[in-house]
Amino acid sequence: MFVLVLAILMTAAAGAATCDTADLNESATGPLRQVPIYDQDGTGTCYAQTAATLINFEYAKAGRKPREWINPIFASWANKYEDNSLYGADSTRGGEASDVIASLRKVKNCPAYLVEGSLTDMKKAGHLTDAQLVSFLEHLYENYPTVVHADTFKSVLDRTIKDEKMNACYTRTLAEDLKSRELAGIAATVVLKHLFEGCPVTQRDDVTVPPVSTLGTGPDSAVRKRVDEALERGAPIGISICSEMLATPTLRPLRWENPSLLNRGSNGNIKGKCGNHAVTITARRQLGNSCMYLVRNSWGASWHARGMSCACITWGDTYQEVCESALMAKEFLGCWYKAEDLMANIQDTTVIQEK
Amino acid sequence: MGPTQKLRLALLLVALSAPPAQAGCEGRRVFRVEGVDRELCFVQGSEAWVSANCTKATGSAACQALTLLKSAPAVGTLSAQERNGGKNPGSVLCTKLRGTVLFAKLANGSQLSFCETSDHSLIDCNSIEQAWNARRK
Repeated sequence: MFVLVLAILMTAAAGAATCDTADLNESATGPLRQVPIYDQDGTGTCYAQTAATLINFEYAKAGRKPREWINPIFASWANKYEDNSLYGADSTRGGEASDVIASLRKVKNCPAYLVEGSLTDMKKAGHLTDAQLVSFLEHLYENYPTVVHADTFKSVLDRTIKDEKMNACYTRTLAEDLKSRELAGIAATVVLKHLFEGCPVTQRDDVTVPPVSTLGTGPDSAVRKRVDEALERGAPIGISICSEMLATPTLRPLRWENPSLLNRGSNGNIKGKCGNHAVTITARRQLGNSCMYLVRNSWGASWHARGMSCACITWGDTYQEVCESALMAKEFLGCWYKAEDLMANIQDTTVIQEK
Repeated sequence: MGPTQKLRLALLLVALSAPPAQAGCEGRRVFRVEGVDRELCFVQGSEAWVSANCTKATGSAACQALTLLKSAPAVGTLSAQERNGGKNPGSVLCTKLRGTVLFAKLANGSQLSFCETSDHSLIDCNSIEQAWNARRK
């Protein structure tokens, strides 16, 4: 009897949630449409990509130019090297968007155009993107043995080229560049430190976005309320989910079986360990019979899960909340997930508060 | 040979003689990939953007990039390290399949990743991921 009453109460509570349209992508001149869809490539910097999306949304809203914005690679480095670790972290992989924003407040931001300038030479030498350069540096460092001999660099480089299946010619040019700067065999975060030294404190900007609020626990209805509140006042929400759910929305972490559990990141009906991933919610809409939320990913503007409803900007620059055809899509803005699937997967939320 | 067998044989012959569905070019676009203009074709069946020359020939392996759609499912599960930090699975798969990830940038700064194979043909990384995802369905 008690269970029945509880179920009725829970159903009533769930039914109380509204599903009026709240879509930050709709306005062609709105701030979100100015923020690019990032592609983190083979780096584990999803948390920094999400943090950059949240802050750059605020910058766009304030009318700041993209050259002054946050570069996600700088954001991950600032978090992992300049702020969080006493000795400097070895890798930029894995983290929390809210931590990144806190770090950027402390160490200040190196504007995107200066970061780009610092990375340019190395990227050119290796024919790499920002993300590829970081991925290469991290693998190079990982491949270093404990005991280092005179010829170690060559063998480590050969192994990294093989592991990463990189273009050997370009990579060797990049390796020579690293050696000439005495940066061979050093953790990626330290290599980036040398690159970002061209951005002294005097050239850095205060990160002046309002405070951030984070929530990592609570029942699904509380998480949904928080997401709804942010969307209704026109703010995107950074969330952590199991990456597997993007292709298979019915997957549930362990917490789904018992909503009182705090840990949403563990198994449940997922085979193996859940791959934690940070993404951003940017819209809510009623589609058919379901209340759906749009998830913006950092896997590039071609990312869309096959067979699902995804939003796009067409080649004619029209917003389609449900893209009619991938052929028409210049840029996918994310895919729609049912409230019950998404809320059961959210491990934490990060929202930049109102001023 | 009975009518059913004849029908089966006819269907088999049609299937064998028809070009693979993925070889048709439904639309063309020029993407600026790593600073170089590359003409790509959209292949409806696999929802993939591939190098235009992949769709000129009608063989199933008209270019190496198209073969990645078939080889992706064989990669199997990605390890925890290969997924750590929400790595783009399309990029990870491209590298595992001996391709090189190249980036295109739209005017607003949005990034698109493509996988280049040793014959210099391209395919968008998302379509590799989607082909890989299909292994479970």
